Amino acid sequence: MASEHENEQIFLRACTTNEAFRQALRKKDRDAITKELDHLGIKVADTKAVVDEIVKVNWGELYSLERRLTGRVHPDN
Amino acid sequence: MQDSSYPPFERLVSDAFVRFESNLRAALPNTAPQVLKLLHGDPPALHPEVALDSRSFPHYLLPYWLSPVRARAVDLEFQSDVLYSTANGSHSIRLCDNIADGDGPSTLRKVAPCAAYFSSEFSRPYMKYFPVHHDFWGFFDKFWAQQVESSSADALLRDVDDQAFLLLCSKKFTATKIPIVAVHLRYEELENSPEEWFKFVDMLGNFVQFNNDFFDWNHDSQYGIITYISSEARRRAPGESLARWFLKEGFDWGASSLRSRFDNVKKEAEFLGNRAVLDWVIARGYALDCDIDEARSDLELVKTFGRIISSAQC
Repeated sequence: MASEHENEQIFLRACTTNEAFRQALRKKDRDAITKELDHLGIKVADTKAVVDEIVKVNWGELYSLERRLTGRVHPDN
Repeated sequence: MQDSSYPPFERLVSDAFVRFESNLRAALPNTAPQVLKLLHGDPPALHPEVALDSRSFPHYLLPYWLSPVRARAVDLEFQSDVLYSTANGSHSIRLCDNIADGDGPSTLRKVAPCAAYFSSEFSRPYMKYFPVHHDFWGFFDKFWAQQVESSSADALLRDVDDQAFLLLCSKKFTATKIPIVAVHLRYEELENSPEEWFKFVDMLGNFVQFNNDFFDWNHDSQYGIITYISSEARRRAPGESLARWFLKEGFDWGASSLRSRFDNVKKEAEFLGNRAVLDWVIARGYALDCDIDEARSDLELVKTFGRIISSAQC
């Protein structure tokens, strides 16, 4: 069982490298989220309940996070 | 921040970018498309807005703001040459920096020789105004060498502490002092001494470099770039990952340090007393507040995900 910090790091890595994961969250696509959680190796007792919680979150800001995680966020210096 | 002198500046910088691109394409017909694509995307986006963006280092703006208002309108050839030179200087620095940091595609290394072209085009415009034994060239040599030294030394550092950051990393904007000194030597009776402007550049460099390291923490970590942030994480939380430290306390520590560095910039701008500089600094402060708030919200998303999954695993 992973700790909260380990799960945060799994999320950071997935947000940085996995477009399918980002799309699944943004679109709140339950099937895609379930599939991606499995790909990430996240094991939970009640997947449906977790997905229910995940789709309640406003993932619109994921664009900003993605920009910050994947590229330089300042203009040319 | 908008004053009546802005439209001419936008035109001047736009013309300088057009001249930069057309000279580059004429001089290096086979390489120019590649280097422009690698540094500015495809198609290359060399817009004047970059020079005006409050998040960009104002290396195009500072010499212009320092110039007497009348000179901005009548001494167009000099003003234009300064901007053209700056465009080349900043490309030389950026190309070398990105290659030194391994930041960008591996093909970037193949266009490394273009830095020599940018460097010669950086100095060439000043030859028209300052003869070879003019005092200008002493300043030019000194500041260009400091720029090169700080960029190279920074890339070689295996650990960045406060002292190294202050003496090396934050000096990577020193070349901006070259157009500033050119303007000082071109025009007489300017309100502030060059030293006061140099101090502002140093203070701003300290803030901007920390800002870059802070917000690029994940990007730099992915590329293996050692920064003050990653070094501080090792010192403050040995054995922990950078991400864990950043989420736990690094973000708050960095945001507080960043604001304090920005306050120093503001104090220096107030001391300088140049209205355009002060307006730019105020706009930069608003942008900083937005960036910190946005980044905090971003990190909340990460924590939310961690909480949801962990509570389901209990």
